Amino acid sequence: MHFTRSARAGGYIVATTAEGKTVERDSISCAHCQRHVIIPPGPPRDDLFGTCWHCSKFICPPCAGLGTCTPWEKQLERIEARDRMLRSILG
Amino acid sequence: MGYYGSRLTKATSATAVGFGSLEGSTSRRGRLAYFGGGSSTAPADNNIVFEIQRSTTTPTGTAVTPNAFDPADVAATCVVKENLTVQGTNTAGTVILSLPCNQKASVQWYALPGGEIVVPATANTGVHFNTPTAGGTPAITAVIHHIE
Repeated sequence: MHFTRSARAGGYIVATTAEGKTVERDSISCAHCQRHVIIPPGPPRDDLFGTCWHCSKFICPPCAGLGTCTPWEKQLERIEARDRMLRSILG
Repeated sequence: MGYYGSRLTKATSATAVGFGSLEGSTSRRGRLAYFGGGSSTAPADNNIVFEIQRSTTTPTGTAVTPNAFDPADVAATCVVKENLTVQGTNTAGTVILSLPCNQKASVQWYALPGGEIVVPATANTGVHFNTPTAGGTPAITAVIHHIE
């Protein structure tokens, strides 16, 4: 079966079923937490994903509920900066 | 950037303790680009859910040496473990990927460029590979590819 990949996909799943069939699905990555949400077949559903109007990226519903824009890259920088600081203090 | 592959196994899966982990190093971030998992136990109708969840402390397990796809690449700095016996601290609400499958079946996840799961360049921090649902506690065999 031909599978058309979504232009906004961040990944895709290939699963075999117990009956030996192969199923493919796209997954979209949340720009704030990197959670991958698997897109079900059928018409697009608005409840699966939100859009951050600050960074203009797709975000998952829990992140959309926070109402803030903290891209994962920024969170990584904070985690790494905190680690560098702790290592400089603790040696 | 180097591309590395690691095999993760656990003879008896458990719902409370995962079967593998990928942790960053202080020098480089790790990017999970592929996960493929299934059971090596005799076929049976049991349900398995593979989950990838962020963690902030290192688990206890067997160290795995990531295999560089290009022999010219340097050794991986990220830490990979399998057959976990003590779970690290998983951050609540940070299940990044959840893949249900039948014990007879297998499931693979591929990251498209830019969609990789990134772990920070911080020691002991990364992701765990868990089986929060594992009917019959089957043996788990999985393969991960990471970039660093």
